[in-house]
Amino acid sequence: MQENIRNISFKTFAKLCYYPDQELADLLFDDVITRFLSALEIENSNINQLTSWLKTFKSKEELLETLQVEYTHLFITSFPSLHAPMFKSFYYENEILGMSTEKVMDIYDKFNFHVSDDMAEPPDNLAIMLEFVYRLSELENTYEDQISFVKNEILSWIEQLEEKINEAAEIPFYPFIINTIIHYLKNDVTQYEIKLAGAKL
Amino acid sequence: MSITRREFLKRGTIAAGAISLLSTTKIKGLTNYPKGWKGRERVQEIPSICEMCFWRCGILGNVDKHGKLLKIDGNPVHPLTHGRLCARGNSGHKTAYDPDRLKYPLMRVGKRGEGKFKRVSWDEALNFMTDKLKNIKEEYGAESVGFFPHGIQARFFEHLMKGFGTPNIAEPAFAQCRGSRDVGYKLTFGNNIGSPEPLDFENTDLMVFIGTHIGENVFTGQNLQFGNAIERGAKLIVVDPRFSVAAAKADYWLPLKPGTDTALLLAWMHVLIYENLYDKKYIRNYAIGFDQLKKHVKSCTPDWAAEITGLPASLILDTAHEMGKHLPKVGVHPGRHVAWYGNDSQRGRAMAILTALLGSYGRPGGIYLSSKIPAPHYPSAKNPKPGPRADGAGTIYPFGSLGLGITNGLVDATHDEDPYPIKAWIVYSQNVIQSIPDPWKTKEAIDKLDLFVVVDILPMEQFLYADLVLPEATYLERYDDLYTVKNAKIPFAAIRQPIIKPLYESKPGWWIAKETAKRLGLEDHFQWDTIEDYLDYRLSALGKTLKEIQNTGIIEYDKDPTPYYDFSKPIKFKTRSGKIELYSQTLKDYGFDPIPVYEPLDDVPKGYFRLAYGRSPIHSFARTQNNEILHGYMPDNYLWINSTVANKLGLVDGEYVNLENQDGILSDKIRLFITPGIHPESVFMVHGFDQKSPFLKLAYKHGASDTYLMSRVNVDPLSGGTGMRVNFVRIIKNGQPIMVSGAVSVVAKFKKTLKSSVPKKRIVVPEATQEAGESEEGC
Ligand code: SF4
Repeated sequence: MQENIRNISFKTFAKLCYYPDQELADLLFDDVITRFLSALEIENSNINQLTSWLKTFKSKEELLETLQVEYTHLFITSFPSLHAPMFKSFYYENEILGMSTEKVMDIYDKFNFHVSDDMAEPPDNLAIMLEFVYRLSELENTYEDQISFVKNEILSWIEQLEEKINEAAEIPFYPFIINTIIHYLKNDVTQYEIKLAGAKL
Repeated sequence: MSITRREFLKRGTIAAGAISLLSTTKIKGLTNYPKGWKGRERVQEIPSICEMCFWRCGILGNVDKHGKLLKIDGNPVHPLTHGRLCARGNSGHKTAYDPDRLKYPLMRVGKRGEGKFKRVSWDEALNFMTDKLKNIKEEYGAESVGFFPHGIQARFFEHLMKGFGTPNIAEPAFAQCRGSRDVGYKLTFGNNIGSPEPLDFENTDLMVFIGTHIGENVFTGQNLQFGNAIERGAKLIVVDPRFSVAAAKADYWLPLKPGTDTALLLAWMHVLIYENLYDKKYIRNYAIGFDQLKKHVKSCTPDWAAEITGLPASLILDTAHEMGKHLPKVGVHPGRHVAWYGNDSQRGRAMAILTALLGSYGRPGGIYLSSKIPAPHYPSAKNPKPGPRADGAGTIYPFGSLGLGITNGLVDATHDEDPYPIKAWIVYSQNVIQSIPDPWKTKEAIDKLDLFVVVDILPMEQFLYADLVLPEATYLERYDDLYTVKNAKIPFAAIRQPIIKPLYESKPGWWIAKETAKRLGLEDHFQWDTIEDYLDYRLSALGKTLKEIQNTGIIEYDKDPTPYYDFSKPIKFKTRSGKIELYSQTLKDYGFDPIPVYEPLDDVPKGYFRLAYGRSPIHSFARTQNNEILHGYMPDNYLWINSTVANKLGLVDGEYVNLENQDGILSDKIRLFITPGIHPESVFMVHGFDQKSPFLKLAYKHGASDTYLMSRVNVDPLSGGTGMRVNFVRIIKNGQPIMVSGAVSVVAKFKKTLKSSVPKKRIVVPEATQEAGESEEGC
């Protein structure tokens, strides 16, 4: 059961990191996501602030438009500040599809995954990486691989992304989301390490 | 965080529905490989053609198992480049993988210039654009849409725009580059020069470069041919106020006063004619107007030209004698970027007339002739008859190109709404703000538009003003139209094919054009089903299919490989008289000088310098400054300034200054390069720097922009081309202008250090440029 919640968490985070669509706007507007996040009780997560910000929208359409403009601004163009590319190789090699992306692709390959043909983002995009953990969590005997992936492929750069998001954000949504994801991921790794230490003892 | 479902639900009873709702949420970034999948394709080498500049050298893309482009090599079977590439060609993968590239169609949500966009789908983007275009056409006519293309990638969209019915298509290749040269040569020989310039490097005995910057304006093929000619012992005369890369290889360097080239050319003609050195038989048989020309240049003696150009008369004489000695194997390079002073078509004509006197047009060692290559166009519906043009080509500027148009003419028309309002611009792979002078006017013109669409790869400055941005796939990710090269001794065709998949949602130009056509009801103009069908059709006359040439990327057509005139047969030039026109009745009829006349330019105001600009082998126009490798080699441009002048002004090599032009426009800071290798009246910088789009993280605000100092142009009355070297700048240091006292008139001697292993060539510089006590040898 616990695994089920963890698995939905990763799926939800992935959803939050993809380009906003109507479904996401619906889930946010109807408080589905905030209720879920609130129940996760993530440390430092000020869910009430997000809830009240979401309440300022009169319609799902208005919310969707705002999220799409902000997503474009932060992760696609951003002006006048530098934007916050959401893929790993930007932080490692300052290019799309850098060597670090290839490493990520090798890991996907190992588990028989590849980026869908209609997905335009590079394989090391945060949303795809979170989706990968979610997909792995549906497979048996992959827990260690999931943790290793989170630790080495996501946590290694996500705080730099957070910094850029905080600098450029025009609405509170993405700073909140990224911060929540970071806390969740760190905690996830810590839980694993505690378990591991316990097992060794 | 380790919690059970029960605990979780307890913590948030209202979250009860959340789990079931979230578990049905759709995300689909990852897919399983199909059953039986056995791994990726092995590493591949895919031939295509480069587009880091417009020369389109042959490349081989090395792709790894993930489909990632690892490196680019030269294609050894390419007939002009033989496996060689320049620095830019080698760095192309960094443009494809540039994190700043345009990734999705974007619609403006803020004010123009604010840079605020929303990502939209291709459907939304194309529907928005075509709805607007239809409305504009209905209200103002098809001609109220202006199209600014560049390169072969824009050909499909250009075809679409012609089908749409607009005559207003203009690219800078004419008015900001080689148009005036082509006008001059066409009026003289009946043919444009074309690309690449057909100078017979293989057979020439003497090359004459007048403002030609081989080595800085790099085309790998031409560089190779040039290097081979030098190695073979061909001589070289370089006319340039600047000690260019080519000047460093020259036997004679003529650092004339900027803007006096026509005087030098007339004096050379004088010597050739009055000393009976010209090719008499060639002129007698194939030219008209010799007597008028002879009379015209009678007073254009070397002494007369020496006074004007600042060159010693003896040097003018010696170089004319060299030409006389080697004719007809003298290759006068027609030049490429010739939009200098606004009298450029007449200078082009003077160069063509000189070529005629040397008997070297259509002869080995001179200018060879272009050949035909059959590549039929795919059948298409007929274009509607377009309305009158707005750019002045064929009317205000009688010799302006109807094919390439006049960009500045179109900007003027949009700005002044004269002769009629232009309501939409589609800019395709062109950089209108950086490539057309007077960028303020261009921006004011954009302000007048109802629709401004930019199709591009990177977010250049113009992107900030766009209503709609369409991301094009890079040259490494797409098929383009067939590239046919007629100006090769054996003409050939080359294909561009995808080496990697288009990144993000970028799309190839053929797809954008075909999809747009569907929405405009112009499907009849794109009757092919796939791009492969289209290319197969074009290749059919060459007896090949696309598949058959995909492994080499090239097909040569050697049916008639003799690119020279056969003098045993009658020769008819495509001029009005059927002869080479030394005297042009056509020009006379239009009220222009039938034979070029030297007209002095405005003097450089005291305390100012004439601003010259040019190329570097590391960058192409304003296009490559954000490429990580090229930016690493050359992040900024420098300002060349004469060392004697700099000493007088107390300027130090490497220090930063600003420039202020005659209209009080200030540049960003630029570093000084103090050198004796530039005329004291002039300063020089490489074009394309100080990118003003903050979206270009590497290029943004690096160096100074020459374009932004061009608030004035002299428009060539024949071609409509913009003479851009008519702006003057002064040096600003710490906010204060640095003033010169008294005129400076002597070119310092250029001290060149040669490695002992490099064979020393004697460079003849004018005596006046040599300091007392030093011999010519050290130069
Ligand atoms: S000259 Fe260089 S940049 Fe231009 S096409 Fe050739 S290799 Fe590419």
